[in-house]
Order: sequence, then structure tokens, then C-alpha cells
Amino acid sequence: MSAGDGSRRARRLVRLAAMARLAPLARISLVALLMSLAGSSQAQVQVQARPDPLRDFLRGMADSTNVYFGEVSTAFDTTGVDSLLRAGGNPDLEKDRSLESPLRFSPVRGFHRAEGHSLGLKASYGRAALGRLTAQGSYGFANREGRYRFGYTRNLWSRVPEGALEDPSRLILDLAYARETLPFAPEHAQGLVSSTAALLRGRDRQSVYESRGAEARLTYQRGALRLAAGYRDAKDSAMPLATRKILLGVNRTAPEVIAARGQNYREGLAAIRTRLFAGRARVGLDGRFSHRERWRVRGAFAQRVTLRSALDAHLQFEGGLSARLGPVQDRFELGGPLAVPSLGFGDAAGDRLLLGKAELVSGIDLLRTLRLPHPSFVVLHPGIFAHGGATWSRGDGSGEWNAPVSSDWRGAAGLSLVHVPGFPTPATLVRLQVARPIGRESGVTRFSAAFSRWFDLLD
Amino acid sequence: MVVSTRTERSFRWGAGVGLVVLCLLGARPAPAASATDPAGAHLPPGSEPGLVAPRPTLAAEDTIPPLVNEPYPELIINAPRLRLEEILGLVAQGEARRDSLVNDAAFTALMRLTGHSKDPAKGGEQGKGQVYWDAVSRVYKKRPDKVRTIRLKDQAYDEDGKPKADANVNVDFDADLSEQFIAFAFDPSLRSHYAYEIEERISVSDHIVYRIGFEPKSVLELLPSGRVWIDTNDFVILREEFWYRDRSPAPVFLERLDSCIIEREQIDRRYWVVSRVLARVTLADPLRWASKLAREPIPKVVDFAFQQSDWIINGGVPDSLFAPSKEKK
Repeated sequence: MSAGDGSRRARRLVRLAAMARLAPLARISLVALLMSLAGSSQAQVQVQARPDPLRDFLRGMADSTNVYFGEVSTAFDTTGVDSLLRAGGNPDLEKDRSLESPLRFSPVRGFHRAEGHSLGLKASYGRAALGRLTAQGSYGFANREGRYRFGYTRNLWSRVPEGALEDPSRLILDLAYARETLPFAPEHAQGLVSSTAALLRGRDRQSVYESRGAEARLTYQRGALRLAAGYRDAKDSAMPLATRKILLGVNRTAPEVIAARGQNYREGLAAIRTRLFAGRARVGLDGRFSHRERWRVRGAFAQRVTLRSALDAHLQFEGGLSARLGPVQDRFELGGPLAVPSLGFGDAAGDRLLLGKAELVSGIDLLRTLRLPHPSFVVLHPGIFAHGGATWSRGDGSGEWNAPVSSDWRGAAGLSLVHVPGFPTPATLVRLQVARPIGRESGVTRFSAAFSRWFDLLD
Repeated sequence: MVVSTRTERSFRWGAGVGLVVLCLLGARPAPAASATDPAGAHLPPGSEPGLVAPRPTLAAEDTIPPLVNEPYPELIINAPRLRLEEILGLVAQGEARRDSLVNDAAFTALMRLTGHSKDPAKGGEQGKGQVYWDAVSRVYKKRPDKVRTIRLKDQAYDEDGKPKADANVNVDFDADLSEQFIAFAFDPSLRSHYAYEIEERISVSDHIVYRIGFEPKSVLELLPSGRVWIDTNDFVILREEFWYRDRSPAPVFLERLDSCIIEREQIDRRYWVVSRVLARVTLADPLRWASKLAREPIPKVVDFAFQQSDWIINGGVPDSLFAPSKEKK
């Protein structure tokens, strides 16, 4: 008798038993008896094919994983591990660890036309119980000035939320005394690109100023929210052009650095920084509130729209307000590759800012699509963009709002190539763009490069 | 293997009795599985049944075939099947609940780096790799931020398999006891970036397991594609696979991530933990050039294996274990 015959016979018997008008207990007994007499082929088949429990189900998939990766990758050698654990660890490795120092060093280097080449060293020493001490010093070979920063950071309090889906809330103390070189309009600054461009071409126009002083700050951090309060005693001063030397000779057309307004201030300060996410949209707010001449607030909104799986539109908007009588180094600028790229750094500055950016980027690998020979790690995505905005400064400081006039607006449109190298952060982009000015006083056709992110007004 | 829950239990009691139960139930194995019962297997413990309004659903439960190959009339089940959005939300909650259950843990971490001189995807022989690094540590963690790692083995090997004097690899564990990373594709902030699909429903013993695939909506997103297996009893992720096969998030370092597999196991029949992470990575040429310059050549294809075993969860790790003075000795 085949298994198929047996199962058919068993089913017939069971069906008959089920239809029999017997008491439930009698029916159970009858069917059990019939099943055993019939050899219960069907039941045997079912018993043999009984489902594995969850552990066996997972183990089955793990076995497939082992086959895919091979025994060399998946079979661990644990010889002697238990003995070492009973002995309290591997003395050789623990000895190595005890030699590890909490003191870390890293180099500091740069180039700017207000400093020339600068070289230095950064040292940090940190333990969880003590906090982190940092000391950094560098020397500018053209302006012959030193820069330094001594800082102390300590986590005063932290709370891990239940469920651990959020980052811990923290209260952080920062103490610092520093003499630093800081950029104008930091939200649009491009430190590395500016240094490289200044070194190679000598014509980079990113302006900087010197800030020297002490600051104590207490920051409450929860998720993406930072609320800070503190006190600052510092002095800002201008940094003039110090070198025309570039890598391949002397560039006599190097533009002057915009002179910062010298100012001493002792002030209490408050600051806020937050980033909010809603679906594929982001909103950010940065604010600094201190002396009546030194407050500065900036907000930005970004939205990604996927038109097709290989075609994205990125929309960004930015608005900024700063004190009307504030120093020039606190103004907003419309120039630079992150704002209106047909303008250079330092162009179109004001204490009010409105900026809009639209970019259409394709996900295709341009070089592969064009069948151009290229290394596999160079993946360029083509895109088109249009940026436009206005900066303006009017009024007598009485606080009334003045809208921009038509002559304040500037814009640019062009082509871009985007490469995602994956470092120094996974979100870092290298963007090469050619921008053509739109409208009067919008600069010149300009090629620029930028290290940025998709939503560079929010990062 | 696909069989309904109650049916399996019936077979445990005896084949005859099981079939009788089926007969008494009118030969309705599919509804007996309660696969779509909101008060049953689909909702996590503690959830209120009836949160989802019942909708008439055809009884063609594709994961629960009839036990007996007889034509039976089509049944209407009034219980709803969970929608994808509900599953995504419940998984996020289930993972959060899983994390909150663990106060302290001890485990042995085993790590291995294996290189393949020939790419297995291009005809290289599977499993014929060369071990480049092997490490074992015993790790103790305790909320909120305590961690202690006891290194037991840390051995590097050269291309010929000879042990090196110094591994030059330092692996530290953080104090985080959560396993949020496994649910990255279900993170509320990323859900709008992904397109999800229920690929399969599998009934395993008294568990209904959903296999859900996910893929970024845009190829410009720096997110991998993958799939997860979700146990709908606890709404925890049992297993996850993800990959970057047609693109790389860091082309200067990685040519592609062929596969990364995360496996979980249940400890003490209560706590789900990551048991293994295995990844096969094809490295990019610039990284290999740099390794040659550093006189530490690395192969084209690398397998990384990470295993956590010998778990003790909520066993009461003493605070003295984390005392700084012990670490200095």
C-alpha cells in the first residue's frame, strides 16, 4: 500500500467516524482506534512533517548562513578561553590595555591668506569621572601669531530614558580660554575648500577675524535640542591680509580680508540649537542671544522629494536675522558655494537674510552611463540647481521690519556633479558646480567646489 | 514548515485525538490558527484586542494550507489581518519593550576577520578564506552607563596564516544595552525614506513570522536594502539581512556590501538578543592601495563575523566589577 492510498483510506475512515452520531467521547475513541488500525498513514506523514519550533526555524536559516560564509568565517576557536576567564582575563592583553593612555594627540594644520601656513598640535586628556581637558596650539607663519585653545568639558548629569530609544539627556559644563581664528558667516563657510583654494589659487575670499577671550557655558542636551547659558569676556579684532604666497608662486591679486569690527564685550549669553524631523522634511533653528548688538537667529527648512527612484528634488529655505548695529563679522552673506555660488564669499552681506535653493539630482552613475573609463569608486551624480536670495540692512535700529527691495535679490543657476565619498562622515558630499548669474549684480559665471551634505543649510 | 498552532499541539497529544479535534471543529484548521485574531498571536502581550476595527477578510490564509487535501468550502474570517503600518509601529514598540527588559548583561563576544583572496561572487571557492584576526572578550554591562570588557584573546595573522606579534586592533564596547540598530529600518524617522513589502507570512509552531522587505525610495539615500523576519508574538526582529549590492555608501572604502546578516536568539525564553552578525564586504581599490602602502595588505573580499554567546541577562552584575581601580591593575 502506498502512502497515498493509506492517507486516502485514513481520511475516509475519519470522515465516517466524524459523521457518526456518537457521543463525543465515544467518537474520539473510535477515531483514535480507527487511525491506529489503519496504520494512520496520514497522521504519520503529519507527525513526521511536524513543524519545527521557532528555535529550529531560526537554526535552519543560520545553517544557510554558515554555508554562505563558510566554516572559516563562522567557526570560532575558543580553545583556552574558559580557563582565561576563570583566571580573570588574559594577563598579556590586560597589560597592553593598562599601557593605553587617555592622552591623545592630533595635528592641527591649515592655510589662510590672513595667516599663511599654520601648524600645531592638539592634545586631549579625558576620563569619564574627571571630564575632558583639551589644549590646542598652532602658529601662523605669515602673520607670525599664535592661536590656542584650552578647554575643559564635563558631563554633570545624564539620564537615560526608559526604552532607550532616545539619546540620554545631559547637562554639560564647558570652560574655555581661547585665541581663535573664526570665519565670517559661519553657516556658509567652507573651511577645507577655502584653505585649499587659497593655497592653490590664492583667490579665495573667505574672511576671518580673531576672537580672544574666556567663556563658561552650561548646556542642556536632549536629543537634537541644545539649550545653553553662560558668560563670555572676549575681544574681537580684525585680521589683515598677511600673505600673497601660494603653492606655485606669488599671487598679487589675492583679495583683501574684510576687516572685522574690533570690540570688547563682557556679556551673559544664551543659545539654542535644534533640529526637527517630520517625514522627509527637516527644520532647524540656531539662535544666540547676548548683548543687544550681538544677537543672531537663523532658521532653515529642507525637504526631499523623490520624483522617481533615481531622481530626487531637494528644496531648502533659510532665513536669518541679526542685530542691526551688530559687527560686520556677525552679518549674513549671500556669497559662496552653499548660498548663491555665482557670488564670492563676502558679497552681498546684510543683517537680514532670505535664501532658497532647489536642486534636481539624478541617481544615475554619469560616467558609467556615458561609458567613460573611470575607477569604480568614482561615482558622479549629475544635477541642476537654482539658488536665489536676498540680504539687506536698512533701518535705524528701532527694530521695525523692512522687506527686501527688488535690487536686493540675487540668483544663480547651473549644473552640478555630486560625489558621495563616504568620509569623513557617511553623509559628506563633494559637490562641483558651475553657476551662471541670474539678474543684475549676481556675480559672474563661477566654478566652485564644496564639501557639504544634501541639506547643507541644516548641518 | 507551515502548520497551525493548535493543530500542532493536538499532534503532541496524539495523532488520533488531533484529528478528532479537527473533526469536531468541522475541519477548519485555518481559523484555528488564529493567525488573524487580534486578541491572539498578532498583538503583543498587554495590547488591547479590538484596537483594530474588524474587517471581513477572505479566509485564503496563504501561510496555513489545509492539513487534509480535501476540497473544503471557502471560509470568511471576520478578524483583520494586520496592515503594514501597524506592524511597523508595533515592531518599534516591541523593540523598545525588549530593550527596557534588560538591566544588566554578561556575554562572550567572539570576533573574526576572514579574507578571501578570490571573490566568492566571481568563482572563488566558498569557505576557503584566510583568518586575519581573531578576538574573544567577556563583556559586562549594566544600566545606565557601566561597561567592563575583559579581553581573553586578540590575535592577528599575516597572509600566510602565521600569528603576528601585535594585533593592532582595539575593540571597545559601549555601555548601551539596547539593540536599536537592528530596527533601523523601522525607526520612525526613517520610515518615510523606505518602501516596505510583506514578502511572506510563515507559521512556525505557535508563532506567526512575517518577512518584510525594505528598500530605500531613492537610490540617492544612504540606506541599505534588506529584509527582516518579525515574530508577531512579541513583535521583535528575529533576523535581519541587508546589503548594498548595486551601490556603495562609501565608494572610496567599500565596493559593495554583499550581505550583512544579523541573527537573534532567545535567552531564558524571555530576552531576545543578537547572537551573530556576519558581513561580507568587497573592499574598494583605494583602501587596498593604502593598505599596501602601510605594508598591511588586505584582500579584496572580507568576511566579518561577530558572535555573542554565554549570555547571562539580569543576573545582577555587581557594581564592584566596574570599579576603575580593577581596570588599572
